[in-house]
Amino acid sequence: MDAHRREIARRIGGTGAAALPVLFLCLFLLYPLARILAMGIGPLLHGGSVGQVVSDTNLGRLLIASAVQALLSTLLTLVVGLPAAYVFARYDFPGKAVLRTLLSIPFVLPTVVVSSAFVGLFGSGGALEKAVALLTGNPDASASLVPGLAAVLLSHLFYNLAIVVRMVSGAWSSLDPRLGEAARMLGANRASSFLRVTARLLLPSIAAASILVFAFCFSSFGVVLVLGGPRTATVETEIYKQSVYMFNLPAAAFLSGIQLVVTVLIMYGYSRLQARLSVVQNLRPEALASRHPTTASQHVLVILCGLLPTIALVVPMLSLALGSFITRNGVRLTYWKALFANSGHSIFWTSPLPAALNSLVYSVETMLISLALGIPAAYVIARGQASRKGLRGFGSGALDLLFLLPLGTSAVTLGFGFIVSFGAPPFALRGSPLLIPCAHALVALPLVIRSLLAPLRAINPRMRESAALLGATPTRVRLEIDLPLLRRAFISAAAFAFTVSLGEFGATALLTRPDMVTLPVLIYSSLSRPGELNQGQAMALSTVLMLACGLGLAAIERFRTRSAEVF
Amino acid sequence: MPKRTVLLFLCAALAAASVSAAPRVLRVLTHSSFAATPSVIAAFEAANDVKIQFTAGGDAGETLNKAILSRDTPLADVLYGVDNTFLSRALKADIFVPYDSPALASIPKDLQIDASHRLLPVDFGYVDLNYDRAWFNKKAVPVPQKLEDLTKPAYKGLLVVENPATSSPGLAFFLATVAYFGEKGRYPWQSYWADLAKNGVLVVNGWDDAYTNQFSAEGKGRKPIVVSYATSPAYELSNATDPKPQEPPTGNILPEAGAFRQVEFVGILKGAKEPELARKFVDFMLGAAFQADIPLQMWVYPSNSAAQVPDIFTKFAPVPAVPATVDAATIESKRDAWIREWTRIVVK
Repeated sequence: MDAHRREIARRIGGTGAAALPVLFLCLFLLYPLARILAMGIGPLLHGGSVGQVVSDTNLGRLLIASAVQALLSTLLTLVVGLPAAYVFARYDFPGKAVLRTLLSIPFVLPTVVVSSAFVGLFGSGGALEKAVALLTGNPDASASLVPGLAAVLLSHLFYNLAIVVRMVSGAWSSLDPRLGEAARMLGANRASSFLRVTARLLLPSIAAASILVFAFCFSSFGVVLVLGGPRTATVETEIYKQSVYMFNLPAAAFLSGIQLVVTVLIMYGYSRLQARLSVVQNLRPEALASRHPTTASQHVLVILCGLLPTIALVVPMLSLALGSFITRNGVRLTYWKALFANSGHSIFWTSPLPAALNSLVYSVETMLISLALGIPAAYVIARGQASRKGLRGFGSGALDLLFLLPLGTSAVTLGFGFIVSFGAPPFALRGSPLLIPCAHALVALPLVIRSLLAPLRAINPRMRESAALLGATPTRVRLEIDLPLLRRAFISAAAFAFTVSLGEFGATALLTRPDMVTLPVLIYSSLSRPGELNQGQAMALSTVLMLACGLGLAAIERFRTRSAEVF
Repeated sequence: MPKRTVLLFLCAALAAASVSAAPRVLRVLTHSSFAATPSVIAAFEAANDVKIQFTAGGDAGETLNKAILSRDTPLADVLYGVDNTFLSRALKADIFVPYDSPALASIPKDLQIDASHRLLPVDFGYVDLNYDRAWFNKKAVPVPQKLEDLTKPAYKGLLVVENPATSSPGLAFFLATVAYFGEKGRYPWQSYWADLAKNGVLVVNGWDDAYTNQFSAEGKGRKPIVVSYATSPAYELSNATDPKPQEPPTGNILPEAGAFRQVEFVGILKGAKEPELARKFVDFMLGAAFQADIPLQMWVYPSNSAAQVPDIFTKFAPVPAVPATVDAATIESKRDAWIREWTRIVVK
């Protein structure tokens, strides 16, 4: 009787936990999206010009091009990311924490800054070309990367490597290494024990990371617009063109609908796959899993797979930081001084300090909002999928899909949806400073939930049951069992939310007020003016942004649990 | 009970104080390139006991789009930043109220493109070709003089332009070629662009990329000719770091009818909460103090012919004798089809 009551309470509690995140998504995603799509698709249906839109935008080719580009980007990110994830999971080496932080910094860099750094390195007259000219002795050697698919793939790798490394290495470090050892003792050779045990157990995390990278690249916008040149397009860049330059809201709405449907289909396939892939294991707290490299081959492995990719990522960042000191007349502080001297110069110019402060406040708010909503949502989804059958299983599948929706939503369209929806009561939120972290949390939620889901599903329920049998309260079970096992996942989730917000440039999504200027907004306004002084200031501001990101991530990484050592 | 009374009293007092102390607020929506000296704005605020709340809505197209979408609950009282390529679209959406500002008396008639005075001209500028002076000096190549020159072998692979589908200067330059070569005839714009494509024109999506990454004068790129603004050389000079050069590192190519005039307008939005203040603000934007502030803040020409233009403009940012213009209604009706055709010719 008592058990039955507790079960009922648990179910009600479970539904209640999901209610708030679902409400949040309804208010900030479904409602504005529905309103803007209705505005656009209404006239389209009456005018009957769907065929016109399809042929004008070359829709079929556009979809294939977006998908191929996203697939290639994902494969490239996996090829570089998986070995790095292994090294980060299994080995301890000096500077590991710093490197892990560095990996995440690209996430916050505005696309214009990244493309400018890439052009500085790989563009015509860039560092690569100078190096080739020096090596070959041919001053006219051409080794430049022109705008196009290759440049897009490279920058997608730059942006998304952290997703693969963080999510997969998190899972890898929680794997019980004894499973592989047991397989070997039972006669499996190294390769087959890896394939049949380790790789198999990692599949859910790899799939989760891949789907995120794919979704980001499929709807990629800024990178494609700048580095892709006029020949590379995604559905999202076409939506931008149609709505902003052609004022063709019906076409933009139609394309947003298509993009959403395609993403939902892909996500649905993925979530079916995910449910089949997940395996309950005895996870280990990460401290036990990693060791120092000892043999020569292990050292080579760590350097080749862990250090090299990270260093490759650091080069563009470093070139920005160094660039902020190098002027026409040598190494000077000119740009940095101008940054602070310029304050009060114009209405939309803020000095970097208040902008940095705004950015940090929004990021911390975003982190808190998306963790507060994402953790209960992830619990409800994971628990529902554990039962798999019946209404609960179906509900959790729908919930899983619902929380992936922000990834498929056109940011441009949603931004216009915000304008339409939040101007009048009951939701007069347009001028509210809270709208910004809420919009950022929308982008962060899929990442937060994905980071938590795979490890949550893998926790062996018997561990929790044993703890409960021994008299632990549900809260204590969460603190003593879940928290230590999920520490790395929590940190990844928090880091993702923080960096998503820090780097978000809300021009298409929101409105800028002088008192809400953030670092990315300031960087954009510097870059939109010509002259070396403005370009230099943009590099200095990007350096400030990278520092803010690094410090924030370092603070998040310091989050420790008391019980981690108990195991 | 007494506690509650005190609380109620406090609330009432606070509410009263906030009503009497706070000045009225005028909401002004602009594109993100809007700039003004804070003291100039503060003078208007002090004279009219008003606080201006500026909001930036992205680039010109995005900002107008947001204003149109929010017509039922307007984002602002005043919108600044609609240009002549978007004028027809803005008027058709019918989101502005007419205002016969007395300041229009000192603004040339040919800038007053909207006869209904719903959109009033604030400033204008020219999109043209800029060239890298050092590059042309070093290579001893003559600077091209006409649009046709750019299709000659001597200028092969030297030009970078912005995509008219994604960039406003890109669209402006494209319109200049349409105005100059025409749509039909022996050598229409289609043939010209096909020749430019054969001669290796580089197309990028945005002005930022074209100017800062591809243009050789900025130190990174390799293209010595770029589509930019007629004021860019003057801006380069004024923003050069010490030691300041005597002349700008770049120059204007102002071929006959090859520079497109962009006019930017201000208008009072329908449903404005403060229509009276909005009219005063429009008068202010067209008046002496604000107009004199325009050149060095936004790097365009003031529309008010009485406003002083700084020396650096007269020296290095000349006004073309015959600017290219395309009628706003024609732009609105043909833009999409033109851009599709252009894309087929140049990008493929």
